[in-house]
Parts: sequence; C-alpha cells; structure tokens
Amino acid sequence: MDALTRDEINSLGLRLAAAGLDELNEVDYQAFRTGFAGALGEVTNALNRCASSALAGRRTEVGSRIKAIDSVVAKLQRKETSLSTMQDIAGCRLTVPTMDDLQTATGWLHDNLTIERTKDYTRQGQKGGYRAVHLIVVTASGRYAEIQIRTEVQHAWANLSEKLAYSIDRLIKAGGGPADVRRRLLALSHQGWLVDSLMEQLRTTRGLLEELSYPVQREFADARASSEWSLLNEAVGDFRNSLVATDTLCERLKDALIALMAALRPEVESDER
Amino acid sequence: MKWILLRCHHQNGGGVSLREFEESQQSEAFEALNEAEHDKPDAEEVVLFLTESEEMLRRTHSRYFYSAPEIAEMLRKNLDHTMAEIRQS
Repeated sequence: MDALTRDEINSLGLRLAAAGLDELNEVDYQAFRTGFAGALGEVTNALNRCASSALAGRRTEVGSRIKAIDSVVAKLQRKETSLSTMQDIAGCRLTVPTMDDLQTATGWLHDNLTIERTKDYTRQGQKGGYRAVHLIVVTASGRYAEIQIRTEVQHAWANLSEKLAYSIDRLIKAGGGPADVRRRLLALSHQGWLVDSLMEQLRTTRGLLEELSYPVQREFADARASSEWSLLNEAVGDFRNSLVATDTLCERLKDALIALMAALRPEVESDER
Repeated sequence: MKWILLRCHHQNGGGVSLREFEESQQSEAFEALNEAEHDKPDAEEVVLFLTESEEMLRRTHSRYFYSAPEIAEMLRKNLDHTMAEIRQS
C-alpha cells in the first residue's frame, strides 16, 4: 500500500516529532499523506450515501479533512500513537440532529463499511466531557480513516471545547486545563446529554403515539361508546400529556445549555485580549 | 464534492478558503496544501477538506470559522428547529 515500510513510516514519525516538517522529512511525509486521499474520498462518499438513504429527510452534515501537519506533529510529540498506527489522518464527520439519528447512522455504516473498531462516548463521555461515536474504518486501499458521528449538541460542545483549548490551554482537549473551565465544560456536556436523551425520548414517544392512534381510530371508530375505546383513548391522552411535559423540560434544558455557553464567553474574550 | 484548502487562525478562526478543486483534482489539491504549509505563520493553520461546499464546511468544521458565541447561537437555532419538528407531529 505504501512506498514506505512500517519501520520507515515510524522513523518518519520520529523525525516529525523531533523537528516538525523540515527539509529532511518533507518529501516523504507529503508522499505518505497523499496516500490518504482515496481513503478520505471513499469514506466521505459512504457518509453521503448514508445521509441520503438511511437519514433521508433529516438535517445531516458531512465533511472530511486531512489532518493538519501541526496536529500530526503535536500528537506524535504527545506520544499518543506512532505514525504508522495513527488512525485519523483521514478524518470524516457526520452531524445529525438527535441520538436516534446517530444510532441509525452507526448501524448503516456498520452494515456498509469495514469497521475495525467502534468507540461510543455518547452515554459515558471522555474525561473532559467529549461525546460522540467514533468508527475506525479500514478502506479498500488498506488505510485507516476515522468517522466521527455527533449530534448537533455534541458537535457544538466539541467546537466550543476546541475554541477554549486554543484560547486558554491546549490541555483542555484532553480533559485538563484550569479547574473552573473543566468543571463548566463537564456541566455543559452533562446538560447536553440530558437534552439529547430527552429529544430521543420525545421522538420515541411520538412514534408510539402514532402506532397507538391508528388502530384505536380504525378499530373503534364505529363503537365510540365502548369501554375499550375509552381506555385506549385515555392512553393516547396520557401520551400526549407526557409529550407536552417532556417538551417543556427539554426547552428548559436547552435554555440552561445556552446560558452555560454564554457564561464561558468572558473567559474566551479576556484570554484572547 | 470538492477539495477546499483553508487557512485560519488557531484561536480566532476566521477561516479563508485559499483554493478549491474538483474531487478528481486530488494531486493538485495536495500540491497546493504542500505549498501553503510552507508559507503559513505559526499562529495559523492550513487544512485540506473534502466537502460538498464551503457552506457545508462552515457547519461541519465550525471552529475554523466562528467564535464561541457564534457557535452557541448556531446550536440554539438547530435546537429550535428540532423542537419545532417534534412539536409539529
């Protein structure tokens, strides 16, 4: 697959970690990186197919990137991985509105791509509060690509966290940095999870309501005085009330999420000054 | 799909599209990336994306373009939209 052997790639990684992209390693690195173009195209096109089929009608966003050299060097310097095993040089992203969309996408991608590893950080976020599903894909060329699937809430949190990392302390990305920022980000992440969970519950409730309503109307339309019709109609009413109550709670949590985000503004601005 | 070569500031975002290429022009896109990396200041980042459009890129990789308050505002709109969809049913 590569003109370079695994040992040569790792040797290149060590040179990058030591000196960045200098004239000794530039040509090798550029050739190595160009090899990921096909992997990026293959997976991005698969994400677009997923969006237009399994998630048709939903608000989805697909975008991919080749990892910036600064990020590659920083990762090698943190010794998180060697260059030959770095799995996100080709990085693809899909954002979806809600958790049930995320689960639909994850299922479709498992059925249609070769997934080597699934990392689900949705229910239990990473140390710093990051939440998403990451899939490590083995492409036709044998190269790795990483897919990040995020709800819109998770996506906004991740973007905000990255902004803070660049503005205040790069350690924020790994769950470090100032205690106050860490605490606020974790609270935000939890609030976001509650919003996502409630939205999922709302959509499930809606589905059940539709399922129940149809047979009730069909079977008992001509016998509205029957006790069965009354009981089922009452159940449908309960579902409707639950829907309204959950909707209200979700609105409150959404406001809390926005308020917490707004509260982070002064720290960003004061640091940037 | 197209390749978009973007330059932005690490902290402030403010992403600017430097070049755009068709998906089939991957060699040209990677060459442009190689060149742009040479010239960039330390505080800036040069990244090569594969995406449908710059508008889509602004949503999937918001941090390269927007400030934290702008990202929060985008989320508010998205949540309002989702809640409206659920209410309508």
